[in-house]
Amino acid sequence: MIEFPEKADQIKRWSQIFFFGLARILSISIILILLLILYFIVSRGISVISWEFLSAAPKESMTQGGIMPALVGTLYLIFWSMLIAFPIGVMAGIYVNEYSQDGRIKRFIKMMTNNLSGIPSIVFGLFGMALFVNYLNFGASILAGSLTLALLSLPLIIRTTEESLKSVDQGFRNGSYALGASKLYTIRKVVLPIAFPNIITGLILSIGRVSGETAPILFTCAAYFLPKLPSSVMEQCMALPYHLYVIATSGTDVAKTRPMAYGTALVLIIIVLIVNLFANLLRNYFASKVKMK
Amino acid sequence: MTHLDTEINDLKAELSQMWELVNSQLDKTQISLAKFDRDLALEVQENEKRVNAYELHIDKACEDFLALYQPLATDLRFILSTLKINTNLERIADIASGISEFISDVDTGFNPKILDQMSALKMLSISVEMVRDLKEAYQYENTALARTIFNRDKLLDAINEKASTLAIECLDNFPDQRRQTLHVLSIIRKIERIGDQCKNIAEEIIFYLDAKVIKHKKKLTEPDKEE
Amino acid sequence: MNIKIKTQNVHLYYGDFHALKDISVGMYEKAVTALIGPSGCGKSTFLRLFNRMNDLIDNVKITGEITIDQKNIYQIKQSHIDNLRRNVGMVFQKPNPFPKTIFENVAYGLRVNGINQEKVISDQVELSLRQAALWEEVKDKLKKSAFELSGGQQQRLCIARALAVEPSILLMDEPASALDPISTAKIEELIFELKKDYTILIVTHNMQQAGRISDYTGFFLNGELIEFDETKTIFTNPKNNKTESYITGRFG
Repeated sequence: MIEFPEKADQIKRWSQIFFFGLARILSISIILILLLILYFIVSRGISVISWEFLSAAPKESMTQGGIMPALVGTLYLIFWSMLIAFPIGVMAGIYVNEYSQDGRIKRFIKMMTNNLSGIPSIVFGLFGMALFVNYLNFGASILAGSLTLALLSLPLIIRTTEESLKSVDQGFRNGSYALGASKLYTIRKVVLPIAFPNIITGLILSIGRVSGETAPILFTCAAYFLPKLPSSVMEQCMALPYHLYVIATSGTDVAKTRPMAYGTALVLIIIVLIVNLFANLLRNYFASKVKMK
Repeated sequence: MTHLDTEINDLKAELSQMWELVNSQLDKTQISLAKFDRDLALEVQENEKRVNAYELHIDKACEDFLALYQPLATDLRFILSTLKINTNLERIADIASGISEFISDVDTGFNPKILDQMSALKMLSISVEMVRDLKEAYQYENTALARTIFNRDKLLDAINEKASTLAIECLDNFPDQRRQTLHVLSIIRKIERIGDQCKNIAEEIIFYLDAKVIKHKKKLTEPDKEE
Repeated sequence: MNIKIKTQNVHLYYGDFHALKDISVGMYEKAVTALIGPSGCGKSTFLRLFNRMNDLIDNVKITGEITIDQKNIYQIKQSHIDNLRRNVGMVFQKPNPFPKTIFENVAYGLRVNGINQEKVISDQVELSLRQAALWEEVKDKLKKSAFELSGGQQQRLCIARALAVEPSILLMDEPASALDPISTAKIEELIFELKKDYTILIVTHNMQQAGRISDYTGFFLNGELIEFDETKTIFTNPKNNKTESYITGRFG
């Protein structure tokens, strides 16, 4: 006869409640911490945000004025580094996932990208200085900085591209091949459109990383102070994270620059959010072109 | 229409063709008995081979149909009844051929008086009608028509029951034609069996169309008698 | 009937695994040939020989002769494999429409072929959808995503997609195994219609399906073609004991 034992049921129920409760508490606490950080920065930084703060260069040993050169410099660095890294990374990802035969080359590339992503960013900075600034003689410049940042973000882009391509059902490829389509045609018309929204996710993550890095641009690009905007990629520029570092640590009057530092941090966060938002729109645009539903 | 339906229609058509052949066999038997046409009687015996060929072919078609389509419900009933009707029809044709053998065995024509007294022609014509009506019932899915068979079968049974008594009378009345009388009696016995086959066919048609197992009805109401 | 596809002493290896063993058989034009057998018996591998889909797998080695219309399809130029695949359509187990509109799915093969006059394409799309008995259901939503269709409709869309490039052979790898009985019946009816114009090879796990739709049946076991005959014969009086055991479910 079928039985419904009360006791076992109770144990089962309580253990469920316990573990799900724990998971819930932990995830809520993460969100709380995030909100706390945001509150911390917004509450201290919001007071200095003004039109002048955004549109003027630092003045009076950075205790006054704004952060415009750093803001624009960061945008420059994001733009150029992504312009370099994204196509190369996507193509490398395509090569690894679609073309290279399972074998040593593929494993080598995978190993290298994995290792590359584990290297501390300061090492990238040193490498960038050695290769771009000195050896290739670009000098400390937006170009050298962007190239260094591009190198830094390549592994992430390659990996996300590879994973996005891998997640495209083999059935789509087979369907295309069975109709006589070539591999290139299949990748262009079927595989890439499906994978692209996820590849954009890689781009978003990279932008987040690039915009926040200080170490790689330390020796390759970032200027301590520039009153005007750079006029070519061969010039140095300021950047928000470095500027933040500078005014928070080595200002002449740290107490006076403290609000400026919070304001800068807030702007940096907002920039990252806006760029992410834009990239998300791009992602949705590509997703809407693929009729998955 | 699915191709299963097409197959069913093909099978139906083939059984109808066989049925038509059996009908014509019976018609010819009837004519050869009434008009004493020995050649026609021999033709009936010859044609028996064609009926057998039909039977084998339909048997094989049913086997294939069962194996390939694994039919269910109405389709299954259809194929089962077709299989049985096929056998029944072949038997009827067998009987017709048997009757023809008796006809071709006598040297001169049958004495109309004997035929008349023993109702042989009437009986044969009833049975021919039965087979013909059954074909219509099968083709046009007419259960009402199929049900009319049972009464007519009883009529044949009744004639058959009286046949022995009548045969004795004929043996006395026509002492020179005793052989003929015995042949007529045998023919009547055979016609009675046509009636039985017709009853079976009617049951199969009703089974297929009405999903009613008439055969077992008796069993259910009078269990003791039947066992 | 003519023999359309022929194999002569074909062996296929995946690395060390001997997946097809010495297969010699001829398959008739404009007939449905069913390939049956337990999982892993090589029937799908056998099917993929004819549009060279096995080539996409690493470490495949194929020996023997495989001809379609008397042409050895393994002695053609690499660049002609695309032409081969246009002539030999394929429908897969899981419906795999592209994440595009219904129209673009069917048009895909035409665009692959470099056809770009929209009028030609739209005519061919309609024709193919009609052939696949799908036109009436989708004619008002050609611009909708193929993923809005039901599984059975998706599979018929994939058939239409394959038909659009006008192949002469249709390979079907368990085309109805992921579908409900009603969709399955529709696909089977469709196959029955299509065999008037196409040579169809179908892999199926479903014995009844093989019985219902095929004219010829090949039984595979452990990479060997155990028996090949008219479906009627295979189903009522197979010559080989193994076939008998398999179709009667007494295998083991």
